[in-house]
Amino acid sequence: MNIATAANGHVTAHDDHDHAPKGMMRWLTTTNHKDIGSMYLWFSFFMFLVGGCMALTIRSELFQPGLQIVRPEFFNQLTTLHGLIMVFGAIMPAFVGFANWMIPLQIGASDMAFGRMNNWSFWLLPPAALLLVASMFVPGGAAAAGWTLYPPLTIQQGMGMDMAIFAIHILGISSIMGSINIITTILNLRAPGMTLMKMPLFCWTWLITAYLIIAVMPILAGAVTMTLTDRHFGTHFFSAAGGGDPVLFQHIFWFFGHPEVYIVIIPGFGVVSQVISTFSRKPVFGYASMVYAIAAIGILSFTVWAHHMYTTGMPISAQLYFMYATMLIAVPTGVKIFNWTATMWRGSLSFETPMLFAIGFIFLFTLGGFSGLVLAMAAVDVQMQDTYYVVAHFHYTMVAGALFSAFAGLYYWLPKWTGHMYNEKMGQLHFWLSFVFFNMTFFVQHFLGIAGMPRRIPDYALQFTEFNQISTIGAFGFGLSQLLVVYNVISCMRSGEKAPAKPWEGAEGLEWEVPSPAPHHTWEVQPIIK
Amino acid sequence: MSLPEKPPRKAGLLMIVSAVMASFLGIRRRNDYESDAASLSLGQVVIAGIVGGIVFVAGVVVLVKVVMANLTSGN
Repeated sequence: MNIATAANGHVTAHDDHDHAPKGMMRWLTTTNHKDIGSMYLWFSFFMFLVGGCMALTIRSELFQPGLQIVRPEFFNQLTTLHGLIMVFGAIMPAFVGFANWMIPLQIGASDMAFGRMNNWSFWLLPPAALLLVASMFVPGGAAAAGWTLYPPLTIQQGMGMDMAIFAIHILGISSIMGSINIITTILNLRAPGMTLMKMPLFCWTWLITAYLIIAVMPILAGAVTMTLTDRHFGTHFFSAAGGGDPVLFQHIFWFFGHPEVYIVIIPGFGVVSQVISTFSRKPVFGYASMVYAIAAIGILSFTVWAHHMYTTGMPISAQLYFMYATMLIAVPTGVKIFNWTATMWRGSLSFETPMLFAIGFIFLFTLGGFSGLVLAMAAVDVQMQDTYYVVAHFHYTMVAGALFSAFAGLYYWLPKWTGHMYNEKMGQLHFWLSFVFFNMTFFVQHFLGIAGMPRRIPDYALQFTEFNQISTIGAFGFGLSQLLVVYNVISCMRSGEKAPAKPWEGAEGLEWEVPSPAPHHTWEVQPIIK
Repeated sequence: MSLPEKPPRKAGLLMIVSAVMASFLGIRRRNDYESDAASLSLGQVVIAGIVGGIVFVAGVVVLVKVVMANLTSGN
């Protein structure tokens, strides 16, 4: 990509001028995409720690059979809030943070299209998080029906459920506004010459993800609103006693939920594509194929939802349909694994921390994909439904997939954000500890699931003890390893070695044309791409 | 003297269909992609993608019907 250098004279002293207002008001009123991106990232990391503490409490209870640490009712609240917080409070906002920081920089735009809406999108998150966490302290406790919020449990629970429903409404509004902003920015604010097919893959993945969010968030909002009216306003959408159908909720939820899986992972595909390309010192293999495949997944992800609910009762022909469709949709996803591998093939590889996380992502996400194919087989799923095999599967896609790709992106762009290099040795230690402890935590859960240990239950039969103990030790190792990234980021901001504009030899793209740290205002004069 | 640039070729139905099918597989040749980029519009691709999704679902439904018919006749 050729960039007209005349346009790069944008970096002048006024770009990094003092901010007004100062202090807390700066962050409350900011419309700057970098400020808002940073707030998203810090918020999501904080929620990652909150959700992580809940996970460690769950794992502590499961260290031994019997009940030791928490009551079963509270255990159910923990599993529910852990899921909701990690999906809606940690992973999704983390990638919106990446989008806010990087999309304007990558397409040569001076900011996001709607600055004030961007500010509002972020500031809706803390009240929603507060509602979720505070619901643990109200009479009856927090929602305890699992993150999938299936009735009839949701109709029977206390006011914690109402707080969760309201939190989901707010989080949904925030996501939809963020998506409108991203789509408008990408479609309207690209620099001259930056055609859609010249965009970095991270922007492409976000464009498609944003469409998915706008398509499915209202469906979830509808489902939880119907739950709310069932609870308080005399409707019986999901109440069998009143002629409703609890299975209807599951269909609506998973019509949202399966595209949601892709919403969580597709921006990670974008990050990994760019990281692999940079550290292989080669353009990404099959750029066009990647764009086509991601767009196809965006459409096909709406056609496979009921593979999450084979055991709730459906005709065998429906089971066959969802099984075949799920197997087929794995093809365009699988092709991407080959594309990343081919990008590395005969590349001039180096293994800095972002690359380690990206390779770890490819390896472990592939395992998660395979266990997903196992679960896609209706006959097998009857055995596996609601066992720890499912827990292992989706943690391979959510943690080793989404979280590892987020860490790859964090280490990759941290020098651009902070102007300093992180501690490489500590970054690599973070990767290896995370990799080992992740597998220690979740690989054994496949065996537990195959042997029949049910999920979301605080007690278990004696024969599951050893694997549960390994899993719990692994979980604590994984959790403690994350303190390394906190330390590394803070010490990088304070005292890291000065980073050049382009700290990675093989990096390509507009974001590396601006100095590090990126000035408060960038691309006020748009670059011209030739 | 340089030759005048040829106007981009208008996309035919076959070309749109092949682009959508390539996306469902996740593989596209560079030459084909370059001609897609020159002649396909975003609107065409989106509509063709949705129609392709419907055809995909219908195709799987037909496959299921065939399998079910064989299952029941086998008994």
